[in-house]
Amino acid sequence: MDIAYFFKILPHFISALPITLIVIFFSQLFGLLLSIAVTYIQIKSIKVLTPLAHLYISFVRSTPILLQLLLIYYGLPVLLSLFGININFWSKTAFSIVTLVLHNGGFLSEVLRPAYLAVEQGQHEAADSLGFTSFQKLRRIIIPQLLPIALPGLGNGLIYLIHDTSILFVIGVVDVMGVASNLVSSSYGTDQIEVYLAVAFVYWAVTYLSDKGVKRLEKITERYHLENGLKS
Amino acid sequence: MLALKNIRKSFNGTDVLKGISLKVNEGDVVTLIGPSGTGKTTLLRCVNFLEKPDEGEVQFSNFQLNYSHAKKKEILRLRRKSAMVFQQYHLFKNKTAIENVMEAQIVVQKKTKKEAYENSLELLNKVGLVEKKDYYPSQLSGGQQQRISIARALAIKPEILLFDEPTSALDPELVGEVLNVIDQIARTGATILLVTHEMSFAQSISTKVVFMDHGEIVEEGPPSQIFNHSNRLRTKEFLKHFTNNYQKTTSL
Amino acid sequence: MFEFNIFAQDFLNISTVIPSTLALALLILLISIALGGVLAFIEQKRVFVLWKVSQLFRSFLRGTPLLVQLYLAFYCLPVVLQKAALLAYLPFNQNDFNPVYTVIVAYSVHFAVFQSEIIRGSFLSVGYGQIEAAQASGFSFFQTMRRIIIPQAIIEALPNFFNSYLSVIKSLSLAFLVGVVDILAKAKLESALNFRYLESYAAAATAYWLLCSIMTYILGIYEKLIRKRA
Repeated sequence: MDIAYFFKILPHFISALPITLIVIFFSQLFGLLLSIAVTYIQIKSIKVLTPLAHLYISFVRSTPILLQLLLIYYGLPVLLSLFGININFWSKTAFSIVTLVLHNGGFLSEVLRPAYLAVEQGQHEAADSLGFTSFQKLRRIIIPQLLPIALPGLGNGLIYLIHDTSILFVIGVVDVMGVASNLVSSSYGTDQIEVYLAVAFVYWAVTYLSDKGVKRLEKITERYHLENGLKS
Repeated sequence: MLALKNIRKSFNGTDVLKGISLKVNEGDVVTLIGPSGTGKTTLLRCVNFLEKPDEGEVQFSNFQLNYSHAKKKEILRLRRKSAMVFQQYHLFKNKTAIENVMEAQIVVQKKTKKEAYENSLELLNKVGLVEKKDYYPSQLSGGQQQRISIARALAIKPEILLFDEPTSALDPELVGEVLNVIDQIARTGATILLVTHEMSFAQSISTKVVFMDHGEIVEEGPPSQIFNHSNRLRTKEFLKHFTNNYQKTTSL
Repeated sequence: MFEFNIFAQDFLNISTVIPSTLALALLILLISIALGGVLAFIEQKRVFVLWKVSQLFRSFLRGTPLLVQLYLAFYCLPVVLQKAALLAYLPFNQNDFNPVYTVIVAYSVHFAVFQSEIIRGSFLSVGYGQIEAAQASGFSFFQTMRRIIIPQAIIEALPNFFNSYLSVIKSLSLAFLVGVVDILAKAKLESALNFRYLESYAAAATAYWLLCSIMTYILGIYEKLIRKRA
């Protein structure tokens, strides 16, 4: 193994990091929003939307992320063209984000839903009986109690998301893995180990940092003193 | 002041409430007694729309609501007329004792934090728990939590207080402190609708006792009538299960 | 736009690969459970040096994507085995090394971490009172393990292993990138001939969805019948 080479190529990866981070950021943001909407639909049992939501989650959890990426990349333009919308000009990054939002959103809603349901009915009733509106109840009572339960799962979701970005190079996104792929094909079959070790370290670092961040958030929400169990 | 008219409700084909009408005047302390599962709690929960009857009307002094056509705004208005104390207390777990008492004042009544704080301090003092004001529910005993939930109910100055078996979930040694508080409140002239199994307590604080069985009101009247001079067989059958301890005990 | 007959044709062709994919996934599952058991044991007993090393491994395995681990294994394993073969005077040709072995090793190690957590969780879920009762009745450590703890732990762990199995099946879709044919790989091969990508991917998706739905259904029956009794 060539240590010198390892350190030589590391900067290449770090410079490709921004794309990965942008993809992660937007995918997580919109994925979270989507999962909140989907959870809402599932809990409220709305006529057409709830079965659709179940279908969506079932599909997104039953099929591999790589397949979903390919389906979106090849299929979405076709689907939208039926409605007269042309998205062929979209960047590969955009398709990546759409895929990750849908995939991540499905996973997150299965974290949010049990967390919401874990807050006992009595908390709702107490707020209702005092005349809180749904929104007031949600914001001041339910969500603060739901967050500590959901956070570990949400944190895991973020880690899965970070790791899922490793497949984007298959459709040609030049992120960390894309750079790796290019380096490997241009080096005539040597130094692959160094390349992927470098990639591994980049991912390891990003994962480690985000894990620390989530743990910090968990500490903050701990102050709601729910230690004695939510279903006491 | 509160009138329930012809409340009907069925669950899975069984009639839980078979056309109940009940009146509670201002300052009344009305107690619902009866065997378990006969609709007492269900009736109570209709008053603040935690249960939705299939039919019926509820009337407050300046407000009326028909259950079959209730709209969101009306339900909100209805709920803001009363406050409920639950069997399982249901204090907000993410708020301290005093925050629990303050919460509805700030959110529903739009008071300032300062105003709500001072008011809540006074109420906690009344129920004897001002030194626990910064404690979270998980750090308090059942009896303490229940007393705080009573303070929380009083905080919004409701037209009627609803008590749903307030002491049924408490350890026996904690029951007395809660009953004391309710007794004090009754003496101040508050309007109360109470569901309980504590018969001696019911007898001592009620102005009217209502005996329900199988979704109907069997008998209603002053405590002396129900407990001592009832001429309804069902009432007497039910009360037989409770020991003859109808005198006001000094422990209360 | 979307040719249904090609879709159907692709689906049939893909189905031929399902049994081998399921078998490969099962092998990986079993090996990973065995490794996971070892990891769980090290975690529980905290044998100092071993523990530190396993913590490092865990951190790496959970901190890096499976695909990266796969690539690393793909390039490292032949080299390592070559060196080992030299030492043992065994013949070994790097170029003949079937990538399936790489997949088995990389995936088993990757999933071992998850399995160890499932195993630990399932042991913890067996009430401690049971262990106390058994020991009070004079059971030895092994007897307690064999007759009380393990049966209950297995019942608790099975659904999680099942979900793990589904995860393995889905993640085998990456194996194509190192040359192993699974469901997705077959789909890509199909479309390579006629360029009808959408139909073949849709066929693959249907295959996965059906597989997962059927298995989840079976799991549901298991939960109803066996877990409820326990």
